[in-house]
Amino acid sequence: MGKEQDTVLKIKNVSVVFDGFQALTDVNVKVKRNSIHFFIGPNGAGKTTLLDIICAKTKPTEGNVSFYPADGEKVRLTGMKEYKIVKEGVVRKFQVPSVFVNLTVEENMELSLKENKGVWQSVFHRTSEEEKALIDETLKKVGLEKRKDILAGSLAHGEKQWLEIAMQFVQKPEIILLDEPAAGMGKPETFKTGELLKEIKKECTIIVVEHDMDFVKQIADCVTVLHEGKVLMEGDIHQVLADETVQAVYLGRGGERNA
Amino acid sequence: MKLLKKNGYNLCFTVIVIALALMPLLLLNGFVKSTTVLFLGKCMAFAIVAIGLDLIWGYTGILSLGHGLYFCLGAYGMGMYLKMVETHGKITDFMQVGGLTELPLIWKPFLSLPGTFLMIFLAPLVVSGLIGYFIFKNRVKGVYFSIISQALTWAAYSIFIALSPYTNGNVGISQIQSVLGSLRGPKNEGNLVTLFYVALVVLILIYALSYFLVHTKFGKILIAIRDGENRTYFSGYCVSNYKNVIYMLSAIFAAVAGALFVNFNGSITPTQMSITYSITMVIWVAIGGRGTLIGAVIGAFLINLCEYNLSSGSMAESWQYIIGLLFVITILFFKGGIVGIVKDQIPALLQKRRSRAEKEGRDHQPIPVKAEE
Repeated sequence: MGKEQDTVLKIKNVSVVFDGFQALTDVNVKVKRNSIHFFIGPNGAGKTTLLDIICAKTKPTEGNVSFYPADGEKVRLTGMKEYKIVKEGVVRKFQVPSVFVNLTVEENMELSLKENKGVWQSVFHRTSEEEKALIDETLKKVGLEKRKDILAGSLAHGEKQWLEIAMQFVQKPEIILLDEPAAGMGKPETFKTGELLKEIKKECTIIVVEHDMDFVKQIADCVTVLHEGKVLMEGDIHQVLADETVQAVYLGRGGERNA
Repeated sequence: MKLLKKNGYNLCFTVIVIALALMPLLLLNGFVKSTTVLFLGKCMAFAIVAIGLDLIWGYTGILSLGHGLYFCLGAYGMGMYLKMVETHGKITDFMQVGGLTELPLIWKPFLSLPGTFLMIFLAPLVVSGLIGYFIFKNRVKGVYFSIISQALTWAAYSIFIALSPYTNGNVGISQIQSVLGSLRGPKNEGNLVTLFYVALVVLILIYALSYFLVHTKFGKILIAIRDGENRTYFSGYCVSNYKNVIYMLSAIFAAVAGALFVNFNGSITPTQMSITYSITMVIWVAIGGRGTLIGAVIGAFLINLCEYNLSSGSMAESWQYIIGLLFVITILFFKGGIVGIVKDQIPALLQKRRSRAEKEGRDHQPIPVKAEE
């Protein structure tokens, strides 16, 4: 496994301007394979915008994002259609849990399976035994295996978050983008989510946007601090916590408690 | 009870089918009038459009206010064939009045029945495919789609009226008989009965096809698109393709319905293409219950039966107001329509009552009794 430490995603000179507002300025970040990479920063720092750019929800004004699959050529994500990016193996969980509320947990998972996304296939494809086993196994990871047959809309908030993570993981992606996976969760749930991500990390790379510093401390391999659309600093969690500028602009008020 | 819950919709559809199948027998024995049977035939055509509309609105969340266009494409196609039967393939009166000396090219496919069937499929397929391709590819959705669909139907309506040498303008195609010949009078009752059963079979086939589709992964994806279009894109589906396919399918359903309708009706005018008529179709689905196929069928039958019985009497003036009011009430309070009331709202009400009764019972009786579930 010599490849373990190489780059899986490269964000190069990315700038975004929304109607004159400079949301991101010349961001350069490399993400290592099989790591948990955090983007933190105060509100409006451009964290979610950066995720939007990686998965092509937003177009950058300048710069581009490249993805290096484990086996294969470099893929330029900028300018691709979002559903094609998913096919390449870069998937995204949204900030507000967005599961399909009128479908059961199992159906949610079935729709997320990697293969058979075409119209014809969707009419004639029946979920195979292997696929069912994969769904069961993934649901077990997030602790929802007993709730397969209930409507996703009737899950609790935290369970929806886990289901959405499971829906991403079942696609066997190379990169999972998570936008505030612990938002609205209590301490024990957040901790459980952290342990889950550590488990998942063995098989893919995870990019997370999060506010909860305890959560960051629990699992982060690498942290990039954004401030006003620029990269303030990057390093492991200890370096970031020790940095004075970071203390001043972000950790500031809550910093004493968190640091 | 469990069986009823699981197969309730199909059971309900079976009951409707059996009731319809009995009608011709009642006609032959003189219990019902032939006009009633003729009217129920039209209702079956309406139920087919309603199923198509339900697929795109109830399941996929695309509200089309212009399905009258596709209904008329089918109806005119069939009507043109029937007119050609009437004139033995010769040029019609309105063409001569319009200054044409020979049969226009656009009428040529309608000289034969297979050509007509082909056109009834192809015309809506091509029109809806093109419209859908551009609209969905550019991610036009929600109310903007509804407005565009309405505008396009209005444009088509104007064109049909303007091209009167080809379409007979406002008058439309009239003085035609059904594919099987005349349906009027006691000696043609056999024709009426046969045509009625043909329509019933088509309705069953369309229902079965739709039922199959919404229970496959395809159907789940439609629901997923309705509930979270963005999430569906980010689950790796090309949503615009799915939307286009279901839009084309519902357009074809509407055209098939139109073709059946003209047989029963004996004429087709651009009125059926007007926006009012297209919106009426949406009202059938809303009141019956969108998102369930049976709801669309029930809505189409119920509203039309009411209209048939009420609109020609003292209620004629107020009928339009009544249906408008019903629509508003449905949208505000009964989102699931009639099916929703029966399936969700009544059980919820009963449940509420039961738990209240239990609570009161507990208040009187301090020791709680554990009920066996």
